[in-house]
Amino acid sequence: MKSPNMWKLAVIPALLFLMVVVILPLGNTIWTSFAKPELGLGNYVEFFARDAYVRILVRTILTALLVTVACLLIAFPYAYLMTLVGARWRLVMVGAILIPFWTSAVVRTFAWMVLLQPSGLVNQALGLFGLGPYYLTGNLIGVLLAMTQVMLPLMILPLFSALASIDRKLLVAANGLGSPPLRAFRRVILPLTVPGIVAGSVIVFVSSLGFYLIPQLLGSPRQQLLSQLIVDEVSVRLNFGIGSAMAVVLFLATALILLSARKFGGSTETFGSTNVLSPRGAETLSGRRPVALVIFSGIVGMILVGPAMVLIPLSFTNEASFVFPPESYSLRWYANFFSSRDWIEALTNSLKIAGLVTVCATVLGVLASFGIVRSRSRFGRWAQGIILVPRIVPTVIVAVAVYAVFLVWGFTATTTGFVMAHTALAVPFVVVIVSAAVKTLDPRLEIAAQSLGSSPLRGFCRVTLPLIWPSVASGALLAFITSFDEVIISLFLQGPFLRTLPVLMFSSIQDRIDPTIAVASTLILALASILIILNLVFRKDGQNIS
Amino acid sequence: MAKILADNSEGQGAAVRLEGVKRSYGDVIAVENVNLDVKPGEFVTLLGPSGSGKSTTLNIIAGFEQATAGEVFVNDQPIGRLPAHKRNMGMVFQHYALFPHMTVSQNVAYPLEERRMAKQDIAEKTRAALDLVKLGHLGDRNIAQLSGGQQQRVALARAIVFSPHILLMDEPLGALDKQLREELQYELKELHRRIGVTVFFVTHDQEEALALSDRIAVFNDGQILQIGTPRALWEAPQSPFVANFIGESNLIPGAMAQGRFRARDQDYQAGPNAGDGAATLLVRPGQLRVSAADGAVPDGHNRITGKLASSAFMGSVRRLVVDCGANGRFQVVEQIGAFSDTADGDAVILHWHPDNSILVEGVDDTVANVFDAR
Repeated sequence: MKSPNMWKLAVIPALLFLMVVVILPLGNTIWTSFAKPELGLGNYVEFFARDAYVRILVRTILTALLVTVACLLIAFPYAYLMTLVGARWRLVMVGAILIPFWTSAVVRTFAWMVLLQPSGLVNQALGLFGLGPYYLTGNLIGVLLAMTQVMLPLMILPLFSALASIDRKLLVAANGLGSPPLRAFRRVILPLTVPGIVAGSVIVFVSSLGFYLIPQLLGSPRQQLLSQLIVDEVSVRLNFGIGSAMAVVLFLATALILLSARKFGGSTETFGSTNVLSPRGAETLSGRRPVALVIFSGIVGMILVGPAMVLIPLSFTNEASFVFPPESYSLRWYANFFSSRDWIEALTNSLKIAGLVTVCATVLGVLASFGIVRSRSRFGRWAQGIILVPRIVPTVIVAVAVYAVFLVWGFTATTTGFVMAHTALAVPFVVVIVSAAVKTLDPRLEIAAQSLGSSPLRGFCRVTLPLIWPSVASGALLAFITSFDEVIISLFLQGPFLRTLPVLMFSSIQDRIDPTIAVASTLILALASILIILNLVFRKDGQNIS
Repeated sequence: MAKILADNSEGQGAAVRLEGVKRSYGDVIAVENVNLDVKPGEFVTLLGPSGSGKSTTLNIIAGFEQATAGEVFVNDQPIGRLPAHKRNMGMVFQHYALFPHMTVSQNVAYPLEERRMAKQDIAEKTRAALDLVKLGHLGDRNIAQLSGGQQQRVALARAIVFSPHILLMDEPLGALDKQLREELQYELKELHRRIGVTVFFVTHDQEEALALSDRIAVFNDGQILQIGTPRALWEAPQSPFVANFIGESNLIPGAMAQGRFRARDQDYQAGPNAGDGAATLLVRPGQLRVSAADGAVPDGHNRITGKLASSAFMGSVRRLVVDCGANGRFQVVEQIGAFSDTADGDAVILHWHPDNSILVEGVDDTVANVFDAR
């Protein structure tokens, strides 16, 4: 039996790594905000004194608020229907939620650009009713739409978890005590869902504060959000001082909300106890089928799944434009993609970096998971807190912080720099998934293996590893996708000779837009789908065993 | 070393000796001064309440924990420095610790594979071990598909398949219901007889200990209080704790003075005499007699008067509680055919022959006695 103290050592590699790659740069950013160009509160005073800046701050907060409210209104009926349907339909509904989750951010945003363009599908549909065409991009409408779509899963999951845990007999009881159905719903179900509502709202609001890609591509330069402003100050104007101050303000807003939510009692991690697989759904009080709910949720499902799917037929278009549906099909844009040195290089870079990140993040994350769970110490929990920082701090802030430090260290535009930054983002995912698996592991199994003649190391390989293997595979997959899809940090770290696929897509979208981007998107979607399906097969094997 | 721990196919258990074994965690002592001399093929039970040190002792024998002091010998060779996976002892764990990602056969084959045996031998031995525990037909099942009793049998098969000289069992029947437990106790005893392995069996269930063991070591507070055959422990407990823990008992704490036992102003005739000093008189519930207040009491019996507080008919026995006021509250068990003609609330005489009581030296306040309200 290894002593708990030995296990502490396993946390150290990941801890040190994150300290150097994330915590130190964040500290440097805070310092810079006070110290550049000269020591004092100058940057903060400037930020709050300039109308333009304050307006951006207010706009950012209002946008996040609007997205949160929209998500809540759309997610609640959807989550409620999830508790009413049987296991098979529930699985379909969960699948619909997870697709935008798994779709690369650039691809998703690009899909919205195509859909919302003046001649796009949305305007075509509106045209059928004699409306429009409207300008849906280049202003906040598109931004709100796209952000809401991306954030919906984060709202639906906690709501579903809260709703699923409510005993529906309470509804019958309230009804029996004299409340008509709708009133019974309002007085019983709604109050009991509050923890889910709080959890979902907090996570959506906080994530919405940090959005960069969507407002940059779908919004207007005259209606910037805070993240865009930060990126501009740091990477365009090289005003590290004020950029850092803005990052600190954004971080403080985030931290403030998270902390007050914790005080309020809403946990941000309520999902997990939910049984998505329970075979039958709850009964409605009236016993009737909730037809309106089904129609509404169907539309929501289409909004969740639809956008990215549009890009697949588009990649086969024969046109040099994004007319949808295409008038004729061809492989010319595929030919274009595979004959272009830029695209191929970007793809190779992405694959190479993501592969390296997968190895590094999985090794660091698995070790750290064992260390955190098995050391059972305060040190372990403290280390876990540090390791999870990249998940809590908005990526824009991490990007600015890492960029400033990597410039000094000479890591920008190097593969090493990319791998280090992406690994820092990926390790938390691995740790969350793998440590959950290690926690459920019966430690006596390793002892049993020893009593049967296995050395400790062999017992670990033959018993422990096979048992957590599905989770390690999931963690590795998530690490790969995290790196492969990452844009924001990559935009800072890129150099003329080192660009990743999302970075190249991002710049192509901004200057010479053609359907090659749809090809790249389709390839990314295909790759992600293959990986996820492989992982599901793995998981299934794992479940059959246990 | 290799020789003593080699294959046990000729059915020979190993001799095991614990000498002054101690285990402490900082200032906390888990076990201390454990001395135990076990003959080849003996079935020894480590019995005690939870936290008494019995599992720690088992883990030290298995090599999962290191003794802070003392040594364990197998066939007179010290094994303290041998890591667990080289000790070649079979172990059945509490809740079995079967590998959930392997089938029944794979679980049982595991220790044989670790010993680099030929494929064919592995298949044969696995089959034989599963047949021995009557699970030959379930080899391809997943562990999750088995009942508790079946899992228990797989765990047993896995622990004996490599023919160890020593079999360690940590509360192996604890998670099963009563009927299944009794059935498996019988099978376990049968199996022990057939394969002749030395068994260390940890339990907190005294009935199980009595039914299975050649000898029992009673643990309390990290020490062995007494080692003996079940019968010896029952008939001659050397401490109030053992008297209370083995079998049901009425304990009367008091003192010996001038050949008589005295407790709370009441004198008793004790059986075999002991020296003066604090002592506890033990009377088993089955050896107490109850008579109606006007009934006859044989000469020479200890007698105290009381009231029948409650009675329960349990089939072949009747259980009574007799409240003797200042002299305490007694548990009585009457066998069928010898039921007394008494009813709840009756004034009764409680009596017993002095030879049917046992005098134990010392008084232990931590052990329940007849003066406790119960």
